[in-house]
Amino acid sequence: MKYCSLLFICFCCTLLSVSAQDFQYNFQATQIKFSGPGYISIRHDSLATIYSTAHWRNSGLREPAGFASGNIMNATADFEFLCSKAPDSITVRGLGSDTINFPQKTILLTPGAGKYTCTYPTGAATKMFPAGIVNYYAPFTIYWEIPFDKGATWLRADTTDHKVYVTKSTPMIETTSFKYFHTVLELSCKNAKGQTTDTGIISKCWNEFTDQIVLNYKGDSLHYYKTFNTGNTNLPALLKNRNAQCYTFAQLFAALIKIHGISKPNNYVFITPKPVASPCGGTISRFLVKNWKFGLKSDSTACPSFPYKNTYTGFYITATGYVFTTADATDQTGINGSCNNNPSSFFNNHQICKFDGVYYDACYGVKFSTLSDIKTTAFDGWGVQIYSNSYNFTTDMSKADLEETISTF
Amino acid sequence: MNIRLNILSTLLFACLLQINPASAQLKIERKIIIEKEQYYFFTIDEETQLATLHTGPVFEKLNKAKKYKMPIGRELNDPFNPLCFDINNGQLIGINWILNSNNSRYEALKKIDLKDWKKQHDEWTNEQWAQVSFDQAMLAPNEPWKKMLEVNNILDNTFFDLIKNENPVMAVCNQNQLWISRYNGTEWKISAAVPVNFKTYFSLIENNGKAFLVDNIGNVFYVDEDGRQLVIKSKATTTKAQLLIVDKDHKSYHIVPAEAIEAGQMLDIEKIIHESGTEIIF
Repeated sequence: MKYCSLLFICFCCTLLSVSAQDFQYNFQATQIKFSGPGYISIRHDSLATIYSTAHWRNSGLREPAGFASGNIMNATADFEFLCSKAPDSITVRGLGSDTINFPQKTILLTPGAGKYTCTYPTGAATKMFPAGIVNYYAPFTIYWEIPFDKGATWLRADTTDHKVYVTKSTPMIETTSFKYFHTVLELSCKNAKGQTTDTGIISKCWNEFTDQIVLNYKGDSLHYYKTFNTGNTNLPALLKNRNAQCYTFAQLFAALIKIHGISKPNNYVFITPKPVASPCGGTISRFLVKNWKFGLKSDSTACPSFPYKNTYTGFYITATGYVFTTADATDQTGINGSCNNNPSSFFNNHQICKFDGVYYDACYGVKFSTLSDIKTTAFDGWGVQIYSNSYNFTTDMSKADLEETISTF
Repeated sequence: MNIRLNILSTLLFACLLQINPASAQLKIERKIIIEKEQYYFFTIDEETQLATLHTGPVFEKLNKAKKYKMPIGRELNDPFNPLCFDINNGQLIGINWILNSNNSRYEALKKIDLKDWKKQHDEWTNEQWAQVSFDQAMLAPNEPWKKMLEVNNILDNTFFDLIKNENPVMAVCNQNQLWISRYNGTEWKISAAVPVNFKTYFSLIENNGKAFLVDNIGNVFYVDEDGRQLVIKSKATTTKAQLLIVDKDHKSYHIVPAEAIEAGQMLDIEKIIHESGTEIIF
């Protein structure tokens, strides 16, 4: 971000219509605040608290601003004016990106210790963010100008750069897990910039996931199971800890859509094996996501339909992998998940999104047309707990099916 | 002088309010149970989803409760359905609704002997506690949930609760349909669907073997004799959140404003009932 202050020599006299006196002055912004209709109160990823109301300070503070499209941004700006001899007032204007300007205003200068201060009062820009269009300003630049030659010429006195997000419409109301997080606005508006339709926004936001590299607004990785035993299962936990289960990536994708005010009921799908009894007892309740290596069928006599048996004592899911006492099935490097080429792969359930009839698995960045495609494409086996401290597996995918429970995120 | 004293006392009171541990931070899950002169209630950790049992003798102040982390919990996502639990002869009956890719909803109905958990496992991580919770013994397969999904697998206004007096009883509601299911030790008997209009959670209670539902503000409902409609038994007198107090020793139920319990932790449960409770009359 450019920290701009201009040094002018001799111009001040002209500006103020005072002649025959040469002196130096320095006019610079000290704080900028945005507000107005359609303003979105963005939250920190880590704390879920709302950013402070100032968006820019010359001390280095840089905070994002968000607006729903079709609204006019307001700005308030504080300036410092270092000048040995200043007039009572000064005229200021701001030229913003996309000619979203802040009109000239003549404002009073207040003398202080070795400087003058003034405030460009809260005022609307000259035009709104075009309605119905997603935008992403990185940065939204404002050139702050003051006139000389009695207004015939404007001098660029300072420049401030801002991160401004513009959503298609007013975001959906916040809930326990859906909040106006910085990363949600960053990923959504960056990917969907220029989009005007719901389908376009969904399609572009999905691009964030397809390379299995999902980063937060700072560029830090959002890991799908960085640790195999992570207990983080909602969007706030993902953004805070950057390591989480499937739920959170589904929620993140859904949040990227909701932030534009797009209402898509029944968009959140919980999938789990249909609770069918295995011929050997127990209920089929586990699935193995590729890749697993199957060796001996150590339980083929007792349970021919689920012949592979893994046993464990204590905690078999550790931070770094599965620890079985005996294992016919062993976990191999798997399908890439977000920022992880070997995420957890032994589950009871999984959560994905569903938009317009298409299943989106944001953890792995893949889409499915039907539920049954998931088991045939992504699974290596089904599991059942017949005895305590053990699981039996089969690679026969016809032994079970997935069922879906649908809700609205 | 008087003005100074007033200011001083006001400041002192304000400070006391700030440091008073009996703050609104203690979010009790749906109810308090009294059994064998002990009270039991749960809170949920808002990061780990795990439940903590608070328990003590009924004559002791609530802020003296002993706290035990338990291998059970509930999800934090919307919609909000508090921890489903009951205490039956020292056994915790509950639904382990922790959101986790290894927690099976079908196997979520658990029975946990409280005496096994008096020794806490401080060496366990939260993730390990979660794993332990998935492996707790099943009370029964969650057939009521399965049945509900067979009718409609789209969740909307989905609420449920589980209790056990003689036998386990479970109520599940989704999409404005309610099922009350009874488990006889080997199988569930699931009622016909009853039209309902719950927008918030309810708690299940029993009187003389008949099931009643108490919603979050204290309305009491039951299913009519024909099992076709929900009938209101007694209407709430407030719109504020209430907690249920299930006194198994006296076979009575009271409704108490949640804020009265939050503010009344310096009192014992009997005093709270006496001062703020409204008995449910059947």
